[in-house]
Amino acid sequence: MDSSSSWQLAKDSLWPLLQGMVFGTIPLTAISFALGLVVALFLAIARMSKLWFLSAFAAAYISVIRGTPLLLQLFIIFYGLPSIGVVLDPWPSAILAFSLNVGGYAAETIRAAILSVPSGQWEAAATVGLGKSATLTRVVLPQAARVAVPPLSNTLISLVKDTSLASAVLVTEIFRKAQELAAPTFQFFLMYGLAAAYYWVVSQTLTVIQGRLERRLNRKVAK
Amino acid sequence: MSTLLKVTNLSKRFGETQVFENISFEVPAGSVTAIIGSSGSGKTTILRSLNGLEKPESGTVEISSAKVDYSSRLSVKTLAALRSQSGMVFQGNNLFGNLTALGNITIGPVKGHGVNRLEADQLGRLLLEQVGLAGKEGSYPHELSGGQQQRVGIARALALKPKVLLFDEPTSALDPELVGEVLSVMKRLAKTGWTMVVVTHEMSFAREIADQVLFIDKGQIVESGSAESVLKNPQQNRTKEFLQRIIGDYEI
Repeated sequence: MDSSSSWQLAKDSLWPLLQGMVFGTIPLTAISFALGLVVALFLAIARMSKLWFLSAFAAAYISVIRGTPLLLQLFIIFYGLPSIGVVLDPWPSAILAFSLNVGGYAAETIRAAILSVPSGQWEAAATVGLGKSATLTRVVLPQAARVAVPPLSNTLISLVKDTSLASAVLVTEIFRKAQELAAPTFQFFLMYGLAAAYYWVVSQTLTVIQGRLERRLNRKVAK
Repeated sequence: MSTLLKVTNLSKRFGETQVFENISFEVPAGSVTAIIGSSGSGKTTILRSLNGLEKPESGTVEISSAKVDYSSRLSVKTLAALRSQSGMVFQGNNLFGNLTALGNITIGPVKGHGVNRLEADQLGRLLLEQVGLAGKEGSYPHELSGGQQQRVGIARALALKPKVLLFDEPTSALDPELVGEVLSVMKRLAKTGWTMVVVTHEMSFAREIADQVLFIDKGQIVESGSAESVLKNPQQNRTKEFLQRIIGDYEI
């Protein structure tokens, strides 16, 4: 294939790849991250609980998630669960795997962020009549957010790229699109290069948003 | 004057260390009690036991209708009932860093005690004005000076309409030039009839406004009585030594 037809193929691939990003990678990342944060918050609270079985469960969960490959977790859910009668489609499988994974990683971040808020804040809240959950949601978490945003942004940006693993369970996101476009033409370098460029743009955009969010949180909260 | 706050046989240990033992005292309604003593004497821990921030092993604390017996298991409800009797001002102010001055004052009444937002805002503005901070409603704690922060802390405590105000060394973390503005607010409160328990190192302040002074050393009340008798005419050697130490040229 000469260079002019490569150029043509590249132009023709821009749109399908963008579709893979916009309708595959981005929603997969957004949904998994949001659910993952919910899982993480509950795990973080369980980890700090005085009830030993809650804390032990959270610790075990985090240990398993961090101690095994994400690809393997994905395969267990998509290829493994059917053998015990649980059959999930590609999208639900991928979302489940990624949210459970993000939950495990972000739990420690959130726990550390909550612990970084001085105990005096809890004490003051108790003296003005706030219960534990009101203190957590109205006083502690807003302040913990400032500490948690940088590491959570890292998790999010990693997740954008990790969702490429979903191609292995038949989710049509950008990486799978690139594979499909490259296979018939053998233009692997070109297609994967374009996909890489898309990933980079999204990651950079998130980095810029992270910076703004950090500045905004810093303005409000005492240093 | 009737007794508003009554402490009976309060004892607390941290592991092997006895923090205080058999502390008993009473605070009449509308009076000011100053708790003095060197650092590590246990005075702050005693104050924090009055609202359950510290939990002694035994002894009782009664404030108005609420009573807590620390030797029995405490329910969240009993503890909340005790806490609702008092407002506390902390040494390090402990203002909520994510809330404005007004937000700091109203969150307790609104989220803790079910007061409606409008009413709480109104009270909050009034209290800010009373502590000399009208116009600072929207300022975040880190935008205020230490003295201003502490005055917001006082307004936050007042907003709970408590029976008694607890002050834990409210001026010891402040720059010297900011101490005066906080003390003057406290003096005004004392004169308007608030019942106050104040842990303090400010002896001249204690002499001026305290009706009762408790001198704590090594976890015991060594001497107690009127400010006049304890501060000007102490009977115990330990009190004399302490006062000499803290007020260099103190003459007895």
